[in-house]
Amino acid sequence: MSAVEAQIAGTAGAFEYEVELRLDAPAALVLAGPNGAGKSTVLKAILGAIRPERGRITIGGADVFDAARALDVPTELRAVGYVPQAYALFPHLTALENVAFGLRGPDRAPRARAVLERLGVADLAHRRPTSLSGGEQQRVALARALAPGPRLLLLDEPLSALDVISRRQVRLFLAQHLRSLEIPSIVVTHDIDDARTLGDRLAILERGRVVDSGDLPSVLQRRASPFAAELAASKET
Amino acid sequence: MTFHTSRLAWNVLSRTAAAVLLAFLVAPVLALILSITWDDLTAGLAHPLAAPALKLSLLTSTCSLLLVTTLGTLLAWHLAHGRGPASRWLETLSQFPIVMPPAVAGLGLLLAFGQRGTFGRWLTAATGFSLPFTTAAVVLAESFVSAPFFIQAAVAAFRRLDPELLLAARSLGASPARVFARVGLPLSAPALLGGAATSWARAVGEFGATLMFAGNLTGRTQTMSLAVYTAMESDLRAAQSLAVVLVGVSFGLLAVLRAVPR
Repeated sequence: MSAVEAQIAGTAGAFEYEVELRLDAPAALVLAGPNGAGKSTVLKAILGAIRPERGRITIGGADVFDAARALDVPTELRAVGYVPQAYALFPHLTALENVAFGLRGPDRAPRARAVLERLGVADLAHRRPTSLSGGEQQRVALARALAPGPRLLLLDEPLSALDVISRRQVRLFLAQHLRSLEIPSIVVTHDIDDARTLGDRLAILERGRVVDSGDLPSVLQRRASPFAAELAASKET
Repeated sequence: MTFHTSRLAWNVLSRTAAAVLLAFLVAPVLALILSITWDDLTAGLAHPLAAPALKLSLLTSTCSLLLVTTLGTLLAWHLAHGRGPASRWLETLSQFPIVMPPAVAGLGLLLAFGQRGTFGRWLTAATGFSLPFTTAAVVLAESFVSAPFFIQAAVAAFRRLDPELLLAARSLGASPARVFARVGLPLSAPALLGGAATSWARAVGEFGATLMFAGNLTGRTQTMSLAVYTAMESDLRAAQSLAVVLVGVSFGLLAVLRAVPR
């Protein structure tokens, strides 16, 4: 049984997409492709923010979307962690309150603090997001997404909001952390360095279609599309 | 014309135009305040119409504010997140009272909620209660004319929210009600307070619709605006005193609302 399986199709803006993805736990899949390839559409469909016209999405063996049965489990019941592109931390809450947002029960504050500790940012607990650096915001956003114990983690262009200097450092941290998780994760990126580093599996999406997928070395070797060729030719920074 | 001359001409013209409009807007308030003595003012406060009208104005405008902000916030949330032409039409519909002449609004309220009105007859048949010429009618008239100002501000505030914040909240298991209460509402609070202040000011100043729908009964439906109108028929000085009191109370309450930390 796979951890995540998505076979979805529909129209997003000017193009049609038809995507098939499969990921076993625990693994990190990078969904890479040029801008406008439909990566975010796929991510939002798995999250439940976009409703595909056809297809089926299964997470942890349970169907969360099935067009044929008119099944569409709302986002809040999918148990999918989400780290948006600009992190979208709640600006009126402290880092600790952000992480505790998805938790219930009287022990939510200590549990939130424990997640912050695990990500090495417990000292930021009482700071507001506006006073945090990009890298710190990303760790808090990751802590917030992981705190409720999701079945799957989605990250949308996780490094694009960072400056060049902090990007490299955060990329290393994120790559290590994603590999240590016990749940599968899908990282969307158009950045070649991120695509090479953040996952062990790679799917290349172009014009709404997965043109190649598999483990990272095989996809880089096959060079199935111009983006894959560019990816294979690039050197990790 | 050289660059400097044209710049000078623009500065003089635009600032003169701005000053003229500003002076025109401030002139009536200044005239009210400057042409009154302290004795006139205390006499105005002691006028038999003043106390009941002031009390009624504060009571009805507060009730109207509560009604408009409670229901208006929920309506604005749905309008802000609605899609398609139906949502746009509903939004236009919610702004209708702004373009309606107050007398027409009053007549409309009377025809809708009057004893023999379209909906009022059901209310009277079911409860024996007739709305027109009651304090409740004043609240409804004030709510009718002031609600669009709050709704407009609230819809704009909710639309400015980053959709990713709302999506992140939902991904953390928050129900739509929790997303509204824990994310949408606190982040939009400053704009909602601004809208509430404008709406409240409109409710306090309401005259035409109240007169048509609720009448002008001392202690029951006579608000400060109506008391000014009534006093003017017999004593201009008393009307002016009441008007200054109304302006003072309005500015005072607005200042308090605006001073709330945002």
